[in-house]
This record gives sequence, C-alpha cells and structure tokens, in this order.
Amino acid sequence: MNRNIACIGAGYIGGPTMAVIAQKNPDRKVMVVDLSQERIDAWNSDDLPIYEPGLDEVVRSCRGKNLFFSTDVAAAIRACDIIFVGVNTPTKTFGKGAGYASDLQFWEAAARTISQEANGDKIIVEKSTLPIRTADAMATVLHTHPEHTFTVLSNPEFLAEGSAINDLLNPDRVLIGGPTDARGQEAVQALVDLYAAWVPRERIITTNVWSSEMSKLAANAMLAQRISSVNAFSALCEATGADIDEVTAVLGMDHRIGRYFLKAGPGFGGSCFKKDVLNLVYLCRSYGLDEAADYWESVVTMNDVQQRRIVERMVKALFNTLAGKRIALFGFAFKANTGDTRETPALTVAHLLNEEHAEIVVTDPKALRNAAKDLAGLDRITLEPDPYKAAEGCDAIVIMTEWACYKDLDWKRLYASMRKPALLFDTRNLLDGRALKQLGFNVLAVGKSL
Amino acid sequence: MNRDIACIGAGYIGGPTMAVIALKNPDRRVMVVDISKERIDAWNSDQLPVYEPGLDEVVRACRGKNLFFSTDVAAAIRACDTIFVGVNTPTKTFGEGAGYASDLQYWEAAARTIAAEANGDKIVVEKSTLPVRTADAMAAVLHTHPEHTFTVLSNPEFLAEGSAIEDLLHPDRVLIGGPETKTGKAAVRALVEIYATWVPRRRILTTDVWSSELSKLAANAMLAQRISSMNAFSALCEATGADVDEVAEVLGMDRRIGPHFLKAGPGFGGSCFRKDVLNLVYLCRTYGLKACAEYWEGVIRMNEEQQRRIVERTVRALFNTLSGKRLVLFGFAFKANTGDTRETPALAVARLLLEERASLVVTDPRALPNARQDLAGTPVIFEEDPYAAAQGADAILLMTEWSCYRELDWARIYSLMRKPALVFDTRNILDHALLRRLGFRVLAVGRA
Repeated sequence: MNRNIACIGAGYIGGPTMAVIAQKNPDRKVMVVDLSQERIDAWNSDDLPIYEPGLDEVVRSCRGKNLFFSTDVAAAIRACDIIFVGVNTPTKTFGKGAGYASDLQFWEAAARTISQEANGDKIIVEKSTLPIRTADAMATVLHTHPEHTFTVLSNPEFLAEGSAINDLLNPDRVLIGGPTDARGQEAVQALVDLYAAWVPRERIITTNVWSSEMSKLAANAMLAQRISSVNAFSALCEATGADIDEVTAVLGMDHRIGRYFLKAGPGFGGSCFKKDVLNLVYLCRSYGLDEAADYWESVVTMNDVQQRRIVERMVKALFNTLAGKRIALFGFAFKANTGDTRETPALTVAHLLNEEHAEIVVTDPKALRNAAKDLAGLDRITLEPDPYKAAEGCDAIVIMTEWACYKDLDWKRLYASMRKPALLFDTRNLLDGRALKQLGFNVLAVGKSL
Repeated sequence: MNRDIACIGAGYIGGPTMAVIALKNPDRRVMVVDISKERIDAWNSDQLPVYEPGLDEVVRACRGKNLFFSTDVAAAIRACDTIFVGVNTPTKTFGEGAGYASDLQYWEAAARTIAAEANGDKIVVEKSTLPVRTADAMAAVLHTHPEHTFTVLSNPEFLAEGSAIEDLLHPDRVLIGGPETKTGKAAVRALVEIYATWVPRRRILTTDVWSSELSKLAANAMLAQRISSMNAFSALCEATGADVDEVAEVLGMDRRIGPHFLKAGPGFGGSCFRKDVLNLVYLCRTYGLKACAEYWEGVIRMNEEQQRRIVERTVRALFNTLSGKRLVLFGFAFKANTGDTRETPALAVARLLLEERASLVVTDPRALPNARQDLAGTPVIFEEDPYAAAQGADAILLMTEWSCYRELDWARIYSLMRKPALVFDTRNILDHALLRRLGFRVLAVGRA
C-alpha cells in the first residue's frame, strides 16, 4: 500500500481536515478532489471557499507541496490507497424519509466511482455523517468489483465550525471504527498511524464500525439536547422570574453535567445538529423504536418552539402587531465567527416575522451573501452591511448572532436613530441589558426579566 | 441572632447534612428534630435509620456533644435562630397535580409550627426539593405571625445517596438563594458562614431565591435526561449491532458532554429524579408551557420504556412465555451501596414480570426489608442467599450493580439453574464472555 491520501469532497469537512493531515504528515501526498470546478478553483485561490480562523495559514503552508486540490477524481483514486469520502449528505427533501433521513446520492456516486476507478486494494474512510450501517452498504457497492479488496472504516469528524482548525489540531478524541477481522484491524492501524502524527495515542479510540457511526450521531444529539434543555428552562425562568444565566452557572458547576453547551438562546443551528437528530429519529423509527424516536424528535420540537417564542414575545412587546413595523436582525449566521447560515435560527425568525408582515432589515458581518440566497423570494426584506444604517427608523433590533462586534456598537447612537419606543431583543444574552434599559430601550432577553 | 441550628425533618437529607454541619462547626449547637419518635430513637441508637458510608463515624463524633436528635420541635425552634426545613415532599398521589406536583403538607405544617413557636426573628432555610416559588408561599404562611421577621432562603441539597458524606464534605457547589433585600443579604451571609468553615468560598454560589429553587430541579432533570438519552441509544444499539458502552466511552471523551451519567441500564430510580422531573413537568404546565412540559415528560417515558423493554426481551428470550417460570432478581435497591428502593427500576420490572405470571424471587444484600414492603401482597419469594435464590431458576435478571454479584461463583449458579439458563445483565457489569463459556445465554443492555 502507498501512503498517499485522497479525499472525495472539498467541503466544510474535507477541506480543513485534509489541510491539517497534510501539514502534520509532510511525507504524504494529500489530494482533495471535488466535481465542482468552482469550488476547486476557490481552494486554489487566495479566497478559500470557507472561512475558518487559521485555515488560510495551514493551506498556504502545504498547498502545492503535499496538498493538492483538483477535479480529477479518477486520478486521485488511482494514486492513493487511502480514500476519505467527505461528500455532502443533506437531509432528504423527497421520497421515503423526507425531512428525516440522509440523502445518500452523492455518497453512493462516490462509492461507485471508487469501485470503477480503483487499480488495487483501497482503504475507504467514511468522513461524512452517515446513518448507522452505511459502511455495510458501501461495502456492498464496492464489492461489485471484486478483483480488489476494499476495507471500509468509519472515522466521523467532530470539528465545530468556527473552531475547525483548533479542533483538528487538538481533538478531544479521534474515533476510528473498523471491521474486527484481521484485514479490518490492519486498515484501522493504517489510519491510526496517520493521526498519531499529532494526536496523542490515548485520544485515538478504535471501536467496531457501527459503534463509531452511532457515536457521531449520539454526540450531536446529546449536545443539541443540552441546548434544548436549557432553552426549556429559559421559558420557565421567564414565567417564574428566575434567571437562566444563574441557573446555568449552577448547572455548570456540577461536574456530572459540565459547563459546556448550556447557553440559552434562539436555538441551535448549523448543518449538523438538526440533521443528525432527525437522522437518529428516522433510524429509531425504521427499527420500530417509536418511543426513542419521539424522545429525540422532542429535541428538535423544543428548538422550533424557542424560535416561535421569540416572535411571540416580540409581537406582545410591540403592541400585538408587527404589520408594517421595521425590525432589524443583527446577525444571520447560525453562530458567531462563521458566514454559515445553514439551519440558522435567524432564518426561521425571519420567516415568522415575515408572516406577521413586518419589514425586515438583515445585517451581518460575514453572512449576508448566504442570507441573500436564503431569503430570496421573500417580500419586505432589505440586506444592509452597516448595522447603524440597518437600525435607522426601526421599531426593534433583534440580536440573532453573538458577534462580539455588536458589543462594541455605539448603542446610544443606535437608539437615537430608531423609532420610539425602541425595542431591543437580545436572543443571545450578549449585551448588558440593564445599561441598554438606561439608554431608553425596552429590553427583552432570553430566560430572564430585566 | 444566636448561632444555633435546628433542622426539622430527620430523613435522608436532614440527618447526614446536619451531622456534617455539626462536625465542621464544633462551636455551634445543631438540633435535628422530627415528629417520628421511631426515627429519632434510631438516630440516637447504634443502628442509624439511613445507611451511608462514613455516616456512622460523623454521627458518633458529634452526637451528644453539639449534635442532638429529638422529637421536641417547638424547643428546637425556640432555641435556634437558623432553622433548616428538610421534610419529605413526595409526589402527590391525590387531587390537583396528582402524579406530578409535590405534596407540600409536611412542609406547610413545618412552616406553621415555626410561625406558631417562634420567639424572635428566624432564618428559615428550605432544604427539601420544592417547586419554584415555594419560598414565597412559605413567607406568606410565616407572616401570619408578623411580630417576628422570617427570612426564607433556598439552599437545595445536591448530595447523592450512597456517597452523601463524601458529597457533603467535598461539594461541587453549595447554592444559596435569598431575597435581594438587606435582611435577605444578611441572612445569606449568615448561611454562607456555616458552609465556609469547610467549603472553599468560590464554590458557594449565591443567587436569587427562584433561580436557586429552579437550579435543583434543573440539575436533576439534566442528569435524569442523560440516563434516558443513553437508554434511548441502547435500544438502537441492540437493533443495529453497535455497543452502547463503546458509544458512551466516545461521548465521555467529548469535554462538552463529559464522562458522567452515561451508563445505560434499567433506567434511573431513587427518590429525586422522577419526582423532580415530574415536578418540572407540572410547573411547566402550570405556566402554560405545554411544549416544555412534554419535553421533560419524555425523560420519564423513556425511563419507563426501558423497563418495559427489559421485560419484553426477557419474554422473547424465554420462548414467549414466563408463566410458571422461576425468575430471580439479583438486586432490588435503586443503585448499589444503599438499601433505598424508592422508585427502583427493579420494582417496575418485578410488577411487569408478575403480570406475565412469572414465579419471582428477589435477593439483595441490603434492600430486602424495603423490598418486602414494596411487594407486599404479591407471591414474591425473598431470599437472602443468591445461590438459594438461583436454585431451579430459568433466568436471573441482574437489576442492581452490587459489586458482590461480580464475585459470585457463576459456575455453581449455572449448575443450580434449569437449562437453558438465562442471565440478563441490565447493568452490564458481568463478564459476558465468561458466562457464555459457562453455558449461560446472556442478554445485556445496548448490545446485540
């Protein structure tokens, strides 16, 4: 076997992961391939197709040396004996399992291409988040060309957007699932060697394939659930006069619970949480586990409720009608430090506000390009890069994304430019609500009364 | 104000907590009172009414010096200016909110007694787990005697049974909620002082009363939820061939999730988790938060489902009928190292097995007295000796993770049982490969 590495799919996962693998394994050739010429051109340019702190530096240090981006999928498959598959697996929008199951068409196409182009034995590494037992299915597709041996491993990626490079450089754990037979274990070892170049051995866990596939879904489901739980508490805090930030401070000091992912807000977003939870729901249903399916589905339901509650509270605070009122959404990305708007709570809130016939102005330091696509076709929407201009004449500002720059705005000036009474709804509990109140704002926050 | 401390209610919380407070505050007198003579006599005997590792030593070190147990509630109220209320607040079994809300009758009676007997200003500390805004209600009851000032603080207890003394000595945090008034802040300071004799100051959190009350429910709800989530995964693992313990290990290495409370099993038990989650459900309903209520109720439903699944899998493994078969529960306590059987999963499983007309035997190193009460009126046989219990049995269901069960002579047990012999290890603590070699059929949680 040679030591070269291919990755099919140059997206949010494939790109950064391969860049770090290349940097830490200077003796290996890493080839990232994708069918999209536009995407590959961007990876080969100074304007990378995704924004991640630190990514530019890593790519610059390896590109053209041992890291290559190309559209020639077949050449990469032939040149490399370890092939990562990191294609997109969005939630199905059609047919059986629509809205829940993963759409595996890109993934199956990749498997078929590998099996056609392979010129020898290959190790195939599932990097996309996939339903449990997908490795089995992949093996079946690959074995339509039985002259070569394909060993399918599961190696789910746990990076979070906005901290991808740091997560890749210092992972909590690297998970590798492989078949328990001798060949499977050999393939697992080959992949362990790759990561051991920079990850301490005790953080590299090996399991059977199914446990590995399941672990990724399980981790995201548990994290999404933490957020939904805190948001459920926030509703009760608003009703009883308790303060969610005090409650979560107490929760976070309990070592059995831990202090992460306890921030109340507008609900989780991003490409993984909702998709993975719905995937889990679908899996449970396909195995007849209805109770378990309902249990996980409630995590998504609670998230939807949180966004509906934001709009309900706004309607109430703005005298029961939003028709014709101007509302500025500060932030559209699903979280700070990214331009990614997939499943962003801001989009749901924008839709609900639009149903109330509000005029919406959206501002965001990085996500306006995506926002324009997401909001295409909606009436009464304006996009405005400058937050001061966005706020002009508005009845309300809604902080939707926890961009640090919003803390440093001149809120006095913003207040002066708004229609009175001026409402500020801080769905991230980012700002100093009391100070804003003193400036004259009516202030709403999540899980507390000010 | 004097420095003496009273505690009304000498139960699982009041007893150990006051013992540790007395131990760490040798200059303060601590009086634990309860209207149950039997309970107080037990606290004054060598056979304490609560079993907790280390409790005997702490009680022995202070009792008769600065720690006193008595039935004279009125005297304690008069003698002490800080009064903890740690009475039982079980889930209501009747009327409005039955099955969800807390039954506050003991708690209200305590408040009325304090108001009636008080001879000066008092700090009243809620120690029982109570619904949010109970402190308000307590203040209202107390102020029927307006000649004295009563300041109500919330100071929820986070100890876990089986490690109560350890938890009290080294708490993750002590939480004190008090009114934001001047009297309120002074009262909070007085309570901080009691704990600061042994708890680092940065671990003592002070909040408003409602946040404190809600925090306790919230913490237990999130812990119960972790267990329900793992149990939901266990069902999927059984169906797909994944291994729930491998999954738990991976989850535990994610610092955002953490390694605790990730053990799949027969579901959570104990006096707090179910009660607190149901309380939360009731609170959400009261405030019209229907989606939140259903969300938290899902944690309970998943727990019940886990117990149903255990019985379903047992029925399937025993050729679809349990009628007349001898099944043995190894362990009845809700967890190891306690005799407590409140809300134990073993009871739910026992009832379901009895519905299937199984002939049921229960063994447990500590919990048989409670098990006898819980299963009174049923034909269940209770047996101290696990080997005698296993005699002629078709199946053993390991329900409690007592470490002594790991050390049993399983070859001998196999030889005593009817064949084919089944072991269902609902705690995944036994060596399944070994059991299979011995001839057992083995079922586990979250493994195909």
